[in-house]
Amino acid sequence: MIEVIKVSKIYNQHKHNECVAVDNVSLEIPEKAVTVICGPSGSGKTTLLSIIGAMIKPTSGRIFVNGQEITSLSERFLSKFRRENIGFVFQKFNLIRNLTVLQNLFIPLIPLGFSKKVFEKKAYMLLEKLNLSNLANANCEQLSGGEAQRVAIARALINDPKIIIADEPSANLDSHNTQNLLEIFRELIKENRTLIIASHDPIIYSSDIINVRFNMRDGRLIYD
Amino acid sequence: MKNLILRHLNLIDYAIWNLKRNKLKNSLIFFIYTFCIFLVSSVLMFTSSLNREAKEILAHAPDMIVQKVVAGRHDLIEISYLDTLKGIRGISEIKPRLWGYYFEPNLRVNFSLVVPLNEQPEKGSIYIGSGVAKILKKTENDFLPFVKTSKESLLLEIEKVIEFETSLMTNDLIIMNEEDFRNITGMGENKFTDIALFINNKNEIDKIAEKILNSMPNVRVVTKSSILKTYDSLFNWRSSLVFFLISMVLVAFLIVAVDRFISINVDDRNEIGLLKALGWDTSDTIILKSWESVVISSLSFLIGINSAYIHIFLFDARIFKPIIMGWSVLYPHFNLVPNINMWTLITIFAITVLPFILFSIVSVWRLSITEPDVAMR
Amino acid sequence: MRRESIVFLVLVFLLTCLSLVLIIDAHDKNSVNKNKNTVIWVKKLGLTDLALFSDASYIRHISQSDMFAPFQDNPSSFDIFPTASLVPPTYMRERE
Repeated sequence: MIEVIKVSKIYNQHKHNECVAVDNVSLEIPEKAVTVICGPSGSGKTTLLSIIGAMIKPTSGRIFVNGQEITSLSERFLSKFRRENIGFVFQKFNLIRNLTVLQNLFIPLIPLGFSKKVFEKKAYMLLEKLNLSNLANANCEQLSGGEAQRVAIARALINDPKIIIADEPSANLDSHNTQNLLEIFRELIKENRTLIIASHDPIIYSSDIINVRFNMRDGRLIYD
Repeated sequence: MKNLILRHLNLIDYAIWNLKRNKLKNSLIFFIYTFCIFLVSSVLMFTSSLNREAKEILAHAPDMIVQKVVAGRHDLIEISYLDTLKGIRGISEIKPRLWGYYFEPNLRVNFSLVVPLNEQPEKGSIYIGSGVAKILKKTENDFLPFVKTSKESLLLEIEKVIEFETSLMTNDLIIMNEEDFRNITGMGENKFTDIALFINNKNEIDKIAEKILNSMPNVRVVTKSSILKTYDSLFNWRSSLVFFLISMVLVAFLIVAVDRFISINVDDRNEIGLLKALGWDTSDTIILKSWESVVISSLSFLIGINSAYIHIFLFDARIFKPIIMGWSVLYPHFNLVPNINMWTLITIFAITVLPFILFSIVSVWRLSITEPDVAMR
Repeated sequence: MRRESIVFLVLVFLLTCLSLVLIIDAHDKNSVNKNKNTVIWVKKLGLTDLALFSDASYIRHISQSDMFAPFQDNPSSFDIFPTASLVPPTYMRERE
């Protein structure tokens, strides 16, 4: 379970362009379930996900993941925490241009000193699962939006993380590909993973796979 | 341990993929860089070898040359000076030298006329350097016409062409008998160009030089050590050409380095942020970027110095010779003997590879503090 | 996936080997006394200068040229570039 306790994030604090992105948010995210945070753009969803994903530190407040407080960890342990526990799926896919699919998948494993053999076995299994086997050596530039998103998901899964964080995963997909994405998410839940999705796409947030839903506006949670 | 090696192999892999992603830019940097190293090391190898050769050969030059100076200009020295020199103790041998220049107007080329200290050729015959033979297209037993100062001409027979391999010293020499020399140049009977002195006790050279300066009017003394110093400063890497080249290279280099330094663009920042989001540590990103520069600079360095060696010593410095030769019509042929020491290599390394790596590490360090959440924006 | 790192390391290794071979080659060439003949001529003629540059008299025998020689023809010696720029005037050399 992930507990978010009174978390705030203020950018450019004490400057004339101060901006409160997340304002005193508390919530609990259940394990092995799909949680969706929805709200219009600029409502602070992405910032909240970044904080939960240990990418940035909140200005105030604390976060516990399975009882471990991550807000107090040093940078070194934060990257270790991200590496071992969290897979990110980004709105813009964020594949590295001009590398092949396999090379992109390899990136999270590089600092771990993985051998290529072990990696390739793992990678082909994942690509198989995501219907990408024939694209293993394709340049990422040449992928369609749906394929790119699946590669991004494969990359998020390569370390076998328990938590998947997806920020607007359907923003650059058509409705057909969004349906495929939901199917993939359904598979991930079967594998006992925790999914946290930020989205303002009705196909996603009103889907039947969602277990918990939070609404955000202007950095705060709102309850209907 | 195995894990550490694999980690670095992975990082090198990724560094190379990264370099390949910007193929055009990086290959440009690579070529400029390799060329800079090639130039700098060619210059250093060329000059240090020539310097060594000069030192080795000039160690056998006369210990001292006494010149007569009139109004600050080199003048012919009279035979009477020999007597004064004989009175100075410590000089083991006194040899008046006869040498001068001969301008060949048709080819617009300058030769050096020299009369040997001992064993002169017979009257009417000469020895010529291989450069002279080549430019005049003459060989042994041919006749060479000279125009005397009195405008009459004089034919001398070439008795010998001096060995090709000695051309670093003898390329433009025409060696003749004293009588022929005086005949051609019109130099008076009791005059010489200068006087060579040989001294047995090398420790006394400076003292004797001082004595000569004090006891004779209008003379200048050139000791062997000052001759060596002249050539040392000529070939030393401080010398102007080398310095000029190196500073040019450094400027080119700085441009490349500064480019790396300031070209921390949005793309690089996003990449670092993404890598961090994917679980890379700050140190991983720094190591990655360092590998990138190590890959470029180590290959450039190795290719640069190897090709410089091949250029200088196997291809006879073909690119440099015309530069150093200048307007000289005669240029000696010489096979340089390689003189490579650790110091040369370290100098090359220090002025080329180190700044590059340092610049990139500083720029990476600035980059690496990027927050991982840029990947989300 | 290819191991670019291995290719790189092998390349570095081979180039280093080449450098070593060249250095050994340099060492070998050094041990040959190839200046023997030149030295004989130097002793016989009492030579003091290399026949490297013959553009002008003070450059042909730079160690023997007098203080004014470099300014005989042209104060900045552009006539015999680049040799003249290589060789500093005598009075500057003597100061060292």
